[in-house]
Amino acid sequence: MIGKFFNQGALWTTTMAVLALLFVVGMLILYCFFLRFVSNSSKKKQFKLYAGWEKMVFQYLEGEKTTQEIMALVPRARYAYFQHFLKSYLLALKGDDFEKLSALVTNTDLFSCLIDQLVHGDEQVRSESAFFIGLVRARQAKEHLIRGLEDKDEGVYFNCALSLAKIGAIDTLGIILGQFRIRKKPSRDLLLSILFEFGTDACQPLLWYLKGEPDAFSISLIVDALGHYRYYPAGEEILCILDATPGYDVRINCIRAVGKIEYLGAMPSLRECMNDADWRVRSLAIWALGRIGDDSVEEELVVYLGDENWWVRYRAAEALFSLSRKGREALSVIAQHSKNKKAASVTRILLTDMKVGG
Amino acid sequence: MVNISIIGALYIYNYFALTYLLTIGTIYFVLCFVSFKTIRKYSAKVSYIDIKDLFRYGNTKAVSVIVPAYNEGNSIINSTSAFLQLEYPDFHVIVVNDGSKDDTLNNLISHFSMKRVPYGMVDSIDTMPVRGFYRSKEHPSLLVIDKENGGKADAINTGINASKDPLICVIDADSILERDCLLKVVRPFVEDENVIAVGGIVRIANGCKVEQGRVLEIAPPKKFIGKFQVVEYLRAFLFGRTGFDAVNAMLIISGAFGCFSKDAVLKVGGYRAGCIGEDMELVVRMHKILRRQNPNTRITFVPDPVCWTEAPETLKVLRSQRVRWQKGTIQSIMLHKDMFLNTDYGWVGFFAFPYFVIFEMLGPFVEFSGYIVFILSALFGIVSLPFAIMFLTVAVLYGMVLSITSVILEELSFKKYPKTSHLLHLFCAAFLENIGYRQLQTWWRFRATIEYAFGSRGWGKMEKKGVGK
Repeated sequence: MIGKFFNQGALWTTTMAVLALLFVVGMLILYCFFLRFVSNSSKKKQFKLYAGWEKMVFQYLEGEKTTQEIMALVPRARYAYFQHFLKSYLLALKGDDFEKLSALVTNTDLFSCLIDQLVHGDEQVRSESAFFIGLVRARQAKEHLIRGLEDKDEGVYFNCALSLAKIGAIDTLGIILGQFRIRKKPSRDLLLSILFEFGTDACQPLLWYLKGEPDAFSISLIVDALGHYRYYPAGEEILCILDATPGYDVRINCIRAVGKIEYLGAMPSLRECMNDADWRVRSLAIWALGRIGDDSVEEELVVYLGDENWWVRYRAAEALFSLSRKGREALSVIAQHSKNKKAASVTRILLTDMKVGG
Repeated sequence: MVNISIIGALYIYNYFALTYLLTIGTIYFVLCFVSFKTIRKYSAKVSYIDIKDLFRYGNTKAVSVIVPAYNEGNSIINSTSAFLQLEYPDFHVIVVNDGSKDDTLNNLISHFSMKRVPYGMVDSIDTMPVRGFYRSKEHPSLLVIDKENGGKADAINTGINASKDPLICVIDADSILERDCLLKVVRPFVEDENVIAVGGIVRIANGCKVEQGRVLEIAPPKKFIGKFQVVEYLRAFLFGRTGFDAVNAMLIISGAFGCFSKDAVLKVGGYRAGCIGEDMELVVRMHKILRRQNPNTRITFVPDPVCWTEAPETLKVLRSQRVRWQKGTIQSIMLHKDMFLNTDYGWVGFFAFPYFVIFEMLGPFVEFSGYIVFILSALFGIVSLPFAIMFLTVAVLYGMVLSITSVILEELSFKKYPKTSHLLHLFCAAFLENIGYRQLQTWWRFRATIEYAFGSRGWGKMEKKGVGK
């Protein structure tokens, strides 16, 4: 019976399979060439359209054409191309030219098309629209962007938040942070890029949020952003958090922030942190003290050159180098004559880094 | 009596081979479907966001590009110069001269005006002794380490020890990276804190116009042996790795180009020196150790950042490469065999690892013996000759469907090969590679498995003539 299967029944099956596969192979090859054909003709069409639009946009920027005249030349079916065409100009232009080009989008039918896409498009289209709205700084789309923050798709949320930051909607910061917290995959770097997009205007509201913020993750982020902008008025609040919080993640960010801000009042707390059990706290405290310029710790820093952790040793050497001439001389002596191998090695690395500039 | 038992065995084996073929065919089909969706989604995502936007505030993670070099005197200057020109806000290039017998080190010293400096290591993975450190004021982000020969894994570990950056990117000295490669490969680390390793796509540079470590014009290789490998690489990367990545079960990041969190690599003790497939072994070990500590750990793949590499153009060198790959796969599997069907490792334990055991490690045995059994079956009259021919045709055509699909995936996403004639070349290769070339590979892998079983576990010799000027 098995023999029959292999010899008769299966022969028909395999023949059919061969024919089906031959058909599939043929169709796939045709499909691939069709794709290439479509892509090439789309490129040609795009090239032709863009060449015409380029001339038109320059006439518009020079005031020879009005927005109505331009939009009359761009049919609705070509909006996707036109959006793509404008993107590179919007990214490159600044000042009046940017404002004029942005008005071409925000004051015409193209804007309602963008809003329509943001509300009704698939997730990809929603993301792209949100991104483009931010690109043209369309403040009138704020309410739609806020609604977009609740979108289930991470990409749409991110682009809406980024666009809100671009249009300077500082009052939406709380919603952005709140939404960020309840999402599944929070990436610190992504949220930081949103906070940084707000610019220095965000510092004051961020400080206000920081005072009432219960969540450790958000505290770390806000402190990080305030440190990035070196917002001095935040120094005291950050210092209070540093002294009151046991959590390492928050403490590390506080130390980094007071170091970047160069907050003088932080020196006593930082000196205490030098004795912390966690190497990250020790190394950052030493780095911050070196940055603020506390030369009273120089002798202690020499001891830290022999610390068990490489980064603590390196930061100590770095701080000694930046604090004073005396510190630099001490480093040279240690590099050449110290019997402590760890201290000598790290000092050599630091001195070479400083000499070469790497 | 003997004849009856042989015939019975042949029947059973035929059914086994058929089941095996159907299973692998189904897996490939599913992988293909998943990759199609993933790649379309990815290419749509990257089409509208300028990647540099993500990196413009200086809150990026610094990267150490580690380049292990052994006898790379001909190409090391071009490749190092190209690595130094990569687009990324904060990175260092660490070239580790692994006791080269040619003028690799001297070329680096004279071209980049390097001087021996007093320097040291940040971390302490065990490696062969370091002879000296070299740096230059003109190229402050370049560090050259000269060490005694210890193999590729040992050289990479030395680079890791010297790195001060949170991310390390391991690159072959003869590889060519696209300029924005680091931006693309680091992006997953920015978007998801659970990502500990990212692999990029490796493509074949033979046939391309290459100057000063840059690919200027892309074209398929002139020789068929090169074209076959182009199709193979497209299949392996575009739907193999993308498919496995969709379920966080990727077991290989190519040794030619991969980016890792330095902390994660240190936690697992660095690369295993003396290992044949050190790239796969590291990734498997990372899954094994780090996924237990954090089940959300991700090892992922990005189909976009391209690393170009030179493919072997003679059968002898190709054989040596494939034998090494097969032995590396077996070694990595055997070292971590306790992961087989172990649900503690999620999809890695009950899908990726068994897949590698059954279809990659044992695959050549099944395929090779399949050919023999099929011939015997025809001789004993178990299968008729027309059926045998038709069956083999099905297998070949199915292979073609997969190869062509990978070319279509490429066409739908990245369109690296610009001319329509290039597509024709790739389709010809997709057709022909299933007749002869694939069987040759099976034979090499079969022999490699036998050699491994009998204790031959060396790296073999890999000659490269270098691409471009």
